[in-house]
Amino acid sequence: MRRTLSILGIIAVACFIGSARAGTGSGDAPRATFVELDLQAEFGGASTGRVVTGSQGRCAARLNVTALAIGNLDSFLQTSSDDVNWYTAVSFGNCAAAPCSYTHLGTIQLLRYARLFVVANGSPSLATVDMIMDCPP
Amino acid sequence: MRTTKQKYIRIPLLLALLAGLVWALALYDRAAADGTSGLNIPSLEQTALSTSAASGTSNVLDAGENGSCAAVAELTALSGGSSPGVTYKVQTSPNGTNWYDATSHAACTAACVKTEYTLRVYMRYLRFSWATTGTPSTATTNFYINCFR
Repeated sequence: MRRTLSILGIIAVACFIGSARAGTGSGDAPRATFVELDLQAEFGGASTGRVVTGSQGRCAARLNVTALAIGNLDSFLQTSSDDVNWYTAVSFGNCAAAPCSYTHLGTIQLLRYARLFVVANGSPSLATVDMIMDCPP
Repeated sequence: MRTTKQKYIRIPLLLALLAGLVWALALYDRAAADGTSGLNIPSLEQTALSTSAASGTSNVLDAGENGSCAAVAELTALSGGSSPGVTYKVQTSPNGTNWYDATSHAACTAACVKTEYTLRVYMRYLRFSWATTGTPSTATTNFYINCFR
């Protein structure tokens, strides 16, 4: 019985240390940073996935259009409370020729989730967009 | 002196406990990766609220100590009546009884979205109110409010 308890104790301690090292059990919330590089959009809409906006509900964002062969792109910062219905919070503008860079400094209050969203117009054959979003914990 | 029977009981028990630990950690890690663990974000989510009433209110959100909020009202369908329209306001209250207008928007006469991304309120309770014009037979709305520190 004593040996069993010892083994269980060792497993528990190892698991605790493992989760703390991963930044998930140490009490420090992981910074809700999402980075997607070199997204290639050849279609009408490109979602980058979403981030949780953190306890402050504010995110800074940077979007670079590094290549655009044909057509043009509209870029948006969108937000959602339920991860289903998405609403535009920031319209970055239209990019007709690369390079284009847009920055949002996190000055507005968002809902629980945020994402960067790109709409391609005119069927661009190749568009390369770098996207970074950073939400303080 | 341990018997063989005791060993046969102890080993499966140990394995079951180990599996339970791994499963619990996996769930915890998934919540942490999603970023939703440990966050207390007061939220109002009331979707597909259909009405023909001349006026009304959404559910009430208790924002607690959180006063920086984002709010969205999305009119998804509007039909019937004569030149129908819907006007939305965010209202706030210190006690859930007395309500005061915090924001107001121009009327929606077709599907539309009204957003508030700079809403700062210092009262505890929040809700949407709406008023219709032109007596629509149906107005369907999604309401969302999330509040942060």
